[in-house]
Amino acid sequence: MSALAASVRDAGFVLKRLPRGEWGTPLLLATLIVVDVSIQPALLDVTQIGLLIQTALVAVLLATAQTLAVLARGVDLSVGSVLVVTDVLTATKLGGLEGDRLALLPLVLAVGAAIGLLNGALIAYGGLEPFVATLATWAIFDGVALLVLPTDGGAPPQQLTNLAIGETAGIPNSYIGLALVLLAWFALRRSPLGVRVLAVGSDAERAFLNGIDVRRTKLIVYTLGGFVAGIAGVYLAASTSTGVPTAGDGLLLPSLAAVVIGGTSLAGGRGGVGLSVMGVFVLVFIGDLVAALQLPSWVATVASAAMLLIVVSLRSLPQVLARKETA
Amino acid sequence: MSGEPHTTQAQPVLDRPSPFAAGDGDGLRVAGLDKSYGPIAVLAGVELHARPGEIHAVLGENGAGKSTLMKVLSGVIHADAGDVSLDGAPLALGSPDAARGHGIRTVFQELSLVPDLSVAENLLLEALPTRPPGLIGRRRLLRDAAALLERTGIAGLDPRRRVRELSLATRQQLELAKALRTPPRVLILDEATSALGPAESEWALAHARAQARAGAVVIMISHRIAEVRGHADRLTILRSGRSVATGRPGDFDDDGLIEAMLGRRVERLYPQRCPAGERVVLRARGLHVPGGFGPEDLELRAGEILGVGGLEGQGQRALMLALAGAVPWHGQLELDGRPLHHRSPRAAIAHGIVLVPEDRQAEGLLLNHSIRSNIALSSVARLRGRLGAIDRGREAEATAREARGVGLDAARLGEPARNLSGGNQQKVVLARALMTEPKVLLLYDCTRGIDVGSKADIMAALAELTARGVAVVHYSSDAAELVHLCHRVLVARGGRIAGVLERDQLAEDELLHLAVGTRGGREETAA
Repeated sequence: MSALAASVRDAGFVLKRLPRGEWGTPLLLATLIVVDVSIQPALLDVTQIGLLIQTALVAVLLATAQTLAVLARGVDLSVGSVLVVTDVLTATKLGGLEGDRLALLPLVLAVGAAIGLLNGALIAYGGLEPFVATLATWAIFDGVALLVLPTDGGAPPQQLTNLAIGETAGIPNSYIGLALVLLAWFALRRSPLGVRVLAVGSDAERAFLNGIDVRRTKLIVYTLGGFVAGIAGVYLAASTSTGVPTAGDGLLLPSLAAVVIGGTSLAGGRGGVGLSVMGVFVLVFIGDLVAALQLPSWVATVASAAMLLIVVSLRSLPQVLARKETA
Repeated sequence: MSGEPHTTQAQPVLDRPSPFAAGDGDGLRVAGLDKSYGPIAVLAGVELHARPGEIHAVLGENGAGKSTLMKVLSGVIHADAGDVSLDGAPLALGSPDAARGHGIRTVFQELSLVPDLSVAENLLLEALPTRPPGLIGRRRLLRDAAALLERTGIAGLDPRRRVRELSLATRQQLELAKALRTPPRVLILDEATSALGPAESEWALAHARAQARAGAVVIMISHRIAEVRGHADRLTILRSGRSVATGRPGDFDDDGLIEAMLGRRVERLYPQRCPAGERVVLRARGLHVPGGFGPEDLELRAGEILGVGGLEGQGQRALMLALAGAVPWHGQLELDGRPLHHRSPRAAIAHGIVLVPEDRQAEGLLLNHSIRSNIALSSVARLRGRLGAIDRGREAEATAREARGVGLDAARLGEPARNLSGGNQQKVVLARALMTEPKVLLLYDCTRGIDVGSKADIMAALAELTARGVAVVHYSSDAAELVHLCHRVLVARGGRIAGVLERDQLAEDELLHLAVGTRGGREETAA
């Protein structure tokens, strides 16, 4: 149970760093976990949790990329297409019939970052709305993925698969992956770059008055987002041992839903990856509960959407009340 | 707003020796500065010379180019031509960072604080303290911020608080504290006291004086002529992008200053007051906003301008919002003798009670829409023609009439509201309110930070309105305005009415006495 203790410690780490007044998300998540575990006690097991995290990690990475864009008062609709590009590249170029070429992994990750860089350049220097720019790159790179791998297939390197689904010293690697994501976020949040990102998202004009290079900051944000979404694609290919050029379909909306349920403000400047990760797990546990209760899968979809509405309404409730009461 | 966690001390202490001795060097020289946006010249050969050790005021109407000049000096925008030099050395002002590198620090009118960052992060945003491997040292950040707050005399403010949660006045103080993080060679105060009460204004100006004594060039933009007279050593007046006069404040009388700013003779800033009517338009009994204002009684007569004064945050906002239907209130209200139970601004407007809000950009205007549609916004229902579409002809006619009434150029109504100066934007908000043909007009500090020309136009429009029998409740942070414009002034203190000054009692010192509680109290209340 030492891993469980570690995850409890992780949770404490996350909680301490929550923006004040953001207790709703952890409470909601804790409630869902308690309910789910009481229905299926077998879940409380290092390996079981590891599997759960493993299936959630792709969504966690995409939600991370999305959170970065949203914090900078933008949006990244292309996260799913970056994912499929690196997914099919991993399945066809890193592995395949001629054997493994793991040395090319940095190149594949660089492709993800490059797509992010393109997004950032279009938005920061081309002056395009993030919605428009990433809508375009979304479609373009979905097409590119189909060009590289027209149908499901390919063979990611076995070593990558072992890394994705394996264990280190008895701890499933998925735990380590999740911890690394959170660690990277907290490091970013505590770096001058992180403050600049929040400043740009909060108020770009004022950030500029403070000498912050707004365009460069946006460029970095989208590049980082592309890089992270690219990691998600590699991880997906590795953990499923195959390439799927359409795997990104249906991943965009959950990434946005996780950001919103977590509590990052769509108006920019407020929130963080820690919150979005909790948002991802809220969605994961809703799905898990629905499966455990042997309900049809559409229930999970509707329940997730209802959760989104409830959470957002509850969160705006104090503000609505405050607006009515104080002068 | 009560309980804002800060206090101020009037006398700041310079605990760091300035590297610049007083009177040393030539100071800041601006020569032949030009800046045009398309065909419109905003600055046309501006000349300015501010010496080290002096507070140099820059005066002018909105649109005269003051803010543009300050933005050029701060590196925010680039001039088309002209030179800026400091102590004889020409300056390159390519970016806010470059200006800061030359020791030019600006307290921006529109505030440069980022709302979602903490006080500490904002104060040290230009120089976040990091430690290996490049992360921000959180304890050091908080310690440095607390030290800066203490050094500048803003005590009791938690540096971890988010700027978004703070009042406008506190934010403006922080803006100044941030500029004083390192000793400035040039300190620019762009309307730096516009949101401050008397004590905080004194605090800010004491800082300005301390910096000047230490040898800095201090440039101050202010619309408060008394403030300029009281604190500036010299002044330069801008008009239509040109420097038209410079000298000591004593060289000009008030009419002379205003004339130089406007280039035309202003009869008087404040119009003649018509006697108020006898008929009571609005009567309140036990008007109470929990935690904000009251319970109090008050009466408002037709054609009367009732001033609302007092220090900042004494319940004036609650009173105004309650009258406007924007916050829940208890008690009884009567409009023209009939009970009124409005619970929303929409209902208030339907009854003829309209509020002109304080922050014209955030609360009032759609900046990208035309001036015309901004004026018509609250009255579109009345402008519907056949089939329910807006009758453009009637809209144009009606908006042009209101625009002329408040002194707006009727030929520019097709332009986006963004193109207007602050004073003219406020006129648009006023014209919109007037177009609803109100019985009661509520003005919430609507003349704050606008130029004298616009102010004069608004005053004239108010005089015209009261002559037609409209009743006005006018909250203002400018005591002179309350004294010279209003028929009666209600002074709020701690959410109650500290006293009401009738017209023959109106004087700035009486207002201040009531506001700070050195005179008057509950027993004198007779509104």
